Amino acid sequence: MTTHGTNDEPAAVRAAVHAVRSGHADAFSEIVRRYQRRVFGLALMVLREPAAAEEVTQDAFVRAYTHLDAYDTSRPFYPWLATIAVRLAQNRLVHRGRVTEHEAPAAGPDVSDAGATDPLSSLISSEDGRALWRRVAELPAGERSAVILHYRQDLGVKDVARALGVTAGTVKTFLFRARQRLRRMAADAPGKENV
Amino acid sequence: MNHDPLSSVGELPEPSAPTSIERVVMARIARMADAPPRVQAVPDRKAQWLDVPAWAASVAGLAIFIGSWIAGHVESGLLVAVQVSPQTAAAALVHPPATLTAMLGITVGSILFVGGLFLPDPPSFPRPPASKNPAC
Repeated sequence: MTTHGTNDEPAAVRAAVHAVRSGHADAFSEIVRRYQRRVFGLALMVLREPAAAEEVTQDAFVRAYTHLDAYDTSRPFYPWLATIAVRLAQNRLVHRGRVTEHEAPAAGPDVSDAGATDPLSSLISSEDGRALWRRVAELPAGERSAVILHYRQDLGVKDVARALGVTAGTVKTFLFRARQRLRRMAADAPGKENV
Repeated sequence: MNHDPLSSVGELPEPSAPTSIERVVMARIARMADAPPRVQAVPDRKAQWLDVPAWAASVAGLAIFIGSWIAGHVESGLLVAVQVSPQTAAAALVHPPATLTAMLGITVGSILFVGGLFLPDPPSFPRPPASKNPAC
C-alpha cells in the first residue's frame, strides 16, 4: 500500500502554501507537481474517464488556489485538496446522471467490460488486481469513493467523512458494505478469483 | 474467504498524470492574476432605494406608531406612512430608531386589533316603541 500518511506533510508544501498566501502565485506549482499524480489517480478512480479526470484535477488545483485562504494550516494539506477533488468528481458524476439515489451496482457502460475500457485496468499487470479493480469499479459511487479515499489514498475515516460530506459512521457503513459486496462478488465470480 | 477483500486496493498501480496538468493549472492561475477583479463595485440598489434621511424614517416610524395606536390596525399605520412616501415607510422598517418606534406601534396596534376580536358583542338595549302619533 502506498504510504501517503497525513502526518508527514512535507515542509515544502507548507512553505508553498505560505508563499502563495503571501502573494507568490508561482509557488503553487510546487503543490501541483507534488500532488497532481495523486489527485489525478483519485479522479480517475472515481470517474473512470481520463479526460474527465484530467479536467477535474485541473479544476481542483485552481479551486484550491482560489480558496487557499479557507485552508486551515493546522491540518494536513492533501485531505483538504482531496476533498475538493472528490466533490468536483462527484458533481461531475451527478451531472452525467450516473449517480442516482439507489445506484445499481452494475450501472455505467464501462463496468461489465472494465478490463477493455477502463484505463486503469491496462496498468494492472496481475489478473487478481484487474479482478479487484473491476469489482471496486462496480461499487456504488459513495462506497467506491470511500474505498478509494481510505484504502487507496490513505485518508483516515474522519478525513474521508469530511471529503464526502457525511458522518464518520456513514463512512464506516460504506466500507463495511463495500467489503461485504466485494466478498459476494468474489464468491459469485466464475473460477472464484482470489481478491 | 477470511481476509479483507480491500486489503490490496492500495497495491493497484498509480496512473501517471498527464504532463499538461501543471502547465494548464499555472496558466489558469496566471490569467486570474492578470485579469481585473471579478467583483466590481455594484451599487447596492436596496441601500440606494432606502437612502432616506434618518429624520424622515423616524417621522414615518412615528406615523406608523400613531396610526396603529389610534386605529388599532397595523395596516392603518402603514397606510399613513405609505401615503407620505412608500420609500420612507420602507425606510422606517429598516432604520433602527424608526424601526423601534414603528414596531412598537405595530405591536400595540396588533394587540388592540387581536384583542378586539375577542371582545364580547356589545349589549343590545330594547328600542323605545315607535310613537303611534302620526304627527310625531
